[in-house]
Amino acid sequence: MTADVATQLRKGVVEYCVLGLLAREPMYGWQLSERLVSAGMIASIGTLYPILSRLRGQGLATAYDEASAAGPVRKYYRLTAAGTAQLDAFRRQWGPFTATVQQLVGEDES
Amino acid sequence: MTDTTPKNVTDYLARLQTELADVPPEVSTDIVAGIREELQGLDQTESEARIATLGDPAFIAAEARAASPTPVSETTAPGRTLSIAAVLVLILGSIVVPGVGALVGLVWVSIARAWSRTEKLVAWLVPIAVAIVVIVVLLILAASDHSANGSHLSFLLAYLVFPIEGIVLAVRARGRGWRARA
Repeated sequence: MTADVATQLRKGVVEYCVLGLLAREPMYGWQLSERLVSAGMIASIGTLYPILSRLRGQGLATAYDEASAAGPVRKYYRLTAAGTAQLDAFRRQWGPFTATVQQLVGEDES
Repeated sequence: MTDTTPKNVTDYLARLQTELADVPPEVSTDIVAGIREELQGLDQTESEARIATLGDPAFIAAEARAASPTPVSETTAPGRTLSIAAVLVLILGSIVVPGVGALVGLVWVSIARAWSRTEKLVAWLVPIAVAIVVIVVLLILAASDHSANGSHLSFLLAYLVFPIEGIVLAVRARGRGWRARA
């Protein structure tokens, strides 16, 4: 179980991390993948697309094609109003949640 | 127009497509399209560097598989045994122990997970509706002194309505893998 702690934690929050990134700006798959892989949130681009598919299925994100000046036409992902609301709800929970967990599992300072 | 895509890119995309064969199509299509976008327009050296960053197609496919929901057909529906038992009790119970058998069958159908709330409601209402029709017909027949035919109708209610209902419920549930329609 110990070896899985990081994996389990990532699984629980990675969708919200995608929502958080998309809240800043619309992004394409590779862009999202690079950010999440470098942050250690996903292992490869293969993990990202099932997440994007779920977010789109739940109406939290949507995709559109856009041609860039220098590169090819890319599929961009952006948040929907429902996605923004979901992210806001997560943000409200996250602070108190981590504080509570810290209280429960934090090392005894006495 | 000549395709100038470097061979390493076409090979990589072909391998990726093969490895993604058992990943849900909506996910595998997006992965291949997303990676194709990224490799498009790169020369041999640039694409080699990008492919090295992407990693082995087998690893990408394994990650996609692990993160995708399990197809419905590969898992057993929850409470499937109880649902099957419920229709069997409804069909056989109503014949072996008329009245009580059917009642137990309907209660089991109500607590089983293979049917929607509407289907369960209909399962209860159909015998009641048939009973009302039978009573009305019996009263009409009694008034015209055809009581023998009336008793045949009562038999119909006890021995046919519940088994038919059980068969219909079983066929509907089986058609969707013993899961209630979402």
